[in-house]
Amino acid sequence: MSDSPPPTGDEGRVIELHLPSRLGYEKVAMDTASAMAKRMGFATDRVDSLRTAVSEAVTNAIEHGNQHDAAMKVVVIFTGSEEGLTIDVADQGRKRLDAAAIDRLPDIHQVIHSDNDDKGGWGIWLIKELMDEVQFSVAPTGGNQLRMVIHLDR
Amino acid sequence: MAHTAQVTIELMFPSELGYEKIARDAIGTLATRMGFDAERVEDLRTALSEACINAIEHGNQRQSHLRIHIACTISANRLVIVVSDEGLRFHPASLNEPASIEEKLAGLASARGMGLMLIGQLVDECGFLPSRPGQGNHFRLAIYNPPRRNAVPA
Repeated sequence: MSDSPPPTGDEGRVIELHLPSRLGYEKVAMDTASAMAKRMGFATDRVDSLRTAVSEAVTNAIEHGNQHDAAMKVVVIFTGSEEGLTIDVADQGRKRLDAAAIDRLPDIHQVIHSDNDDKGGWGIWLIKELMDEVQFSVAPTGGNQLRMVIHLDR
Repeated sequence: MAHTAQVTIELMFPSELGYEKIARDAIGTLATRMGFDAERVEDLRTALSEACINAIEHGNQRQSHLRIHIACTISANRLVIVVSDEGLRFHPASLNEPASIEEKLAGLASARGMGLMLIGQLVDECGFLPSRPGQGNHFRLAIYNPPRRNAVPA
């Protein structure tokens, strides 16, 4: 077995993960992210932040983007470099991400007093709090794509 | 939650030593979440590493732009993993039966191939799937019957 760490930096040196849109499988993405981040040298608290952010992003993709349709895939792409780790989470876009949800600051009072199950907005807010860069775009597959970047040496 | 028969997770990475560790960690954790105990997970991790290293070194001849593809199929009582390479060097399924240690010591067989023998000791089933030159090598390994059912829904 080799002791060399995963090489980083070059285009195409990526790990790609395809998951069914079923809750529970976001954990596989979390585990893959932390396996990679630990080997890249991220501190434990940063790895924990990354796990939480990945969990939120993949859960969003399963619940909203793919509407729990297990036949639809969530694609997670991990790209390591000298600067850090970039993770793209793409769904198949059964439901487009509401642009307002991206910038909305969640209102704690509304959540506490609302009977609505949809606590929308918190996941994205949390990802932005935890990660160094967050971008939303349309995936090559036509779905929603969320890119998050976590920098090394912070 | 309605249970469909099985679900598949795919993981792809470049043919470069080091990446098999990410696969080993991610899929080892998946097996833990399925309820396999620590000893069986450790065996699976070793077997999967060997299978990936074989695919990187032999099947893809360490050409990093060629991909290793891992498909994990999860059902209630088993985890089936197929490690595929692009078959730069082809391994016919007819060579499934590894040479014995006696044959190796006598110089009648390659000293390599110990990996396959080892994998056979560690998992419930393993072997190359039928394939032809140009279709890549597909090595299948499976473990059965986790003692308890756990967090990842099948």
